[in-house]
Amino acid sequence: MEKKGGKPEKTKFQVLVIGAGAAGTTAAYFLAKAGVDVLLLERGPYPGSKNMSGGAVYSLPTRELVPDFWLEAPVERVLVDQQYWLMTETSAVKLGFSSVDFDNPPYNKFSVLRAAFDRWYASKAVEAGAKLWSGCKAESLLFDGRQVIGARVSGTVNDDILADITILAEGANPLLAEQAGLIKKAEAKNYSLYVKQLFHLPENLINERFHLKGRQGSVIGLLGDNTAGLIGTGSIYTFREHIGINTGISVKTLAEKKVNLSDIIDRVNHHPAIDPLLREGTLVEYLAHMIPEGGFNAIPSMVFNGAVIIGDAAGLVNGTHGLSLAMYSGKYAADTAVEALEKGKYSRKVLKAYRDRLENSFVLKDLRDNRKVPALYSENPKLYEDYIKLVNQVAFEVAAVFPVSRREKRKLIESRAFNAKSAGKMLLDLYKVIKVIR
Amino acid sequence: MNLQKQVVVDCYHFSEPCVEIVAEKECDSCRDYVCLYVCPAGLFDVQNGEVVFNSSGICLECGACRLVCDNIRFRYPAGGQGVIHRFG
Ligand SMILES: Cc1cc2nc3c(=O)[nH]c(=O)nc-3n(C[C@H](O)[C@H](O)[C@H](O)COP(=O)(O)OP(=O)(O)OC[C@H]3O[C@@H](n4cnc5c(N)ncnc54)[C@H](O)[C@@H]3O)c2cc1C
Ligand code: SF4
Ligand code: SF4
Repeated sequence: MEKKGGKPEKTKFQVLVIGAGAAGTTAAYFLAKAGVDVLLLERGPYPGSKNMSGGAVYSLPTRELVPDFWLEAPVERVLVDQQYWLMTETSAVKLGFSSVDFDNPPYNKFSVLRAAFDRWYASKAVEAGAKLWSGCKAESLLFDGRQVIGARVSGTVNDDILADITILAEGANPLLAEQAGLIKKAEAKNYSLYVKQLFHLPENLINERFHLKGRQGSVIGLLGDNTAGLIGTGSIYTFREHIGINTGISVKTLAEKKVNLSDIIDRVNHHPAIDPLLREGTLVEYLAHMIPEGGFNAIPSMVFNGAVIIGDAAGLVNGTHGLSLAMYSGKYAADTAVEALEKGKYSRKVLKAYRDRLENSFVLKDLRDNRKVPALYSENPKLYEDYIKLVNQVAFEVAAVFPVSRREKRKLIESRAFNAKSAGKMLLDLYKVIKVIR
Repeated sequence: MNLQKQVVVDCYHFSEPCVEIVAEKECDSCRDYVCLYVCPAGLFDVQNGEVVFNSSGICLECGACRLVCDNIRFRYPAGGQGVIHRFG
C-alpha cells in the first residue's frame, strides 16, 4: 500500500493511535471492533521491535480482552513456579510457590518475548480492521488552537495525519506530549532504568536447572544484593529456549551513586546462586528500558482537547506491573472514543470519561492504594538491605550446625532477629517490598 | 565489564545520533558527569578531558540520559531506524 517515504492513500482518520505497544494496540483493537476508522502508528520496523518486559503476560486481564489468547498468541512457557530470592553477596533465602493447577486453562501467567507477542497482538488489531503503519514515527502533534487534531508523521509515510481523537501510547518516554507542552518533562526520581540480558540455552537444560516439566516455566523475583545494596529489583524468567535476567534501579539513584547498570547486571550474573542457572548460555540480546515507577502521585494529566494519554506514557504502572494497566487503559480510551464519536464532540470535557473509567477500575484504585509505597521504598534505602541481611543471617543460623542445644539455638536466633526489629514489622515490610516487585 | 560484547549482539538499523549535547561548554564546568554512569550502553566517554558522545555506538533508546541532565537532548531515531529487538 504505502511505499518508502511515500504519500498515504488517506490522511484523515477518526482515531489516530501513536505507539503499537500493549496500550496502543489494545485501543486500536477495540476501536476497530467497534467499527471505528483507526490508524495505529509504530516507529519501529514492526510492533514489538522497541519493546521489552521481564517477561510475563497475565492470563486474567488478557483473556478478558482476548478470550483464550494462549491458543494463538506466541506464549513461551506456562508460569507455574514463582520464587523470591532475598540475596546478600554470598547467600540467598529462597521463598517460592509452585502449583501445577496453574498449568490448566485459564492458567495464571505466561512468559512472553515482546518482539513476538506485540507483533501478534497488533495483527489482531489489523484483523479487526485497524490500519497499521510500521516504521512510521509521529514527529509532533498538530493543533488547531488548543485542540489536538492529529500528528505529523515520517518514515514509511511522510505527511500530516488528521484525526478527531489522538491517543498517545508512546510508552515510558512521553516525548510527544512533553514537546507539545501537554505535560511537564518527566523527572528522574519517577523512573527506574532496567537492563535485560537474554541467554540462549537448550530447552532440556533449562528444564533440568529449574526443575520444570515440558512447557512449564519459572520466574524468580530478585531482591537485595542483585542491585549492589541500592534500591532496586530484578527478575529471572524462563522462556522456551532462553533465560532472561533483568535488573533495575531508580534513575536518580544511578546518577547520585554514580553506578552503571551494565556493571551491576554483570555482578548479578556471577552471584553464586545465579551463575549455575546461566552457565554455558549464549548471550543473544542486551536491552535497556525505563519503567515509570512514581506511582499515583506522579501521574500527569491524561485528558486534553482531542487527545488522551494511555499506558506507560501516563505513568500507569503499579510497582513493576504495567502490562495489564496499559491494556485496560487502552480499552477505556477506546470505549470513551467510541462515545465521543457518537456525540461528535472531542473536547476535554467529553474525553474526561476516560479518566473516570480508570478511577472506577482496578487501574487507579490499586495505584491509589499503593501511593505510599514508592516513597516508603525510597525514603528507607537501608531498611530493606538490613532486613534482607537479617533474614539471610537467621536462615544461616537455622541451617548451620552449632554445638548448642536446640532450645539455646532458637533463643539465639530469636534474640538476633528480634533485637533488630519486631518480627511483625519485619514481615509486614517485607510483604510491602514483595508487593512492589511481585 | 565487556559492554562492547553485550551491545554487539544487538540488531541495529543505522540512524542519526539520538543524542545531542546542547552546549558543549556546559560540560567543561560540569562536575557530575552523570551521563557517564547512567547510559547503559556506555555511549558517553571522556576523551582528552572532554565529555563526548559516541555517535557511532548503538543507543538502546532508553531515554535515561535525558532525565539526568538538561544539557542532553534525546530524540527517538527516525521511523524504522535504531535498535531492533529480536526478542524483547
Ligand atoms: C525490564 C522490564 C520488566 C517489566 N516487567 C513487567 C512485568 O513483569 N509485568 C508487567 O505487567 N509489566 C512489566 N513491565 C512493564 C510493561 O512492559 C509496560 O508497562 C508496558 O509495555 C507498557 O505498555 P505501553 O503500550 O504503554 O508502552 P510500550 O509497550 O513501551 O509501547 C510504546 C510503543 O510506542 C512506540 N512509539 C513511541 N513513540 C512513538 C512515536 N513518536 N511514533 C510512533 N510510535 C512510537 C514504541 O516504539 C512502542 O512500540 C516491564 C518493563 C520493563 C522495562
Ligand atoms: S552531558 Fe550533562 S552530565 Fe554529561 S558532562 Fe555534559 S553537562 Fe555533565
Ligand atoms: S538513550 Fe539510553 S542508551 Fe541511548 S544514549 Fe541515552 S542513556 Fe545511553
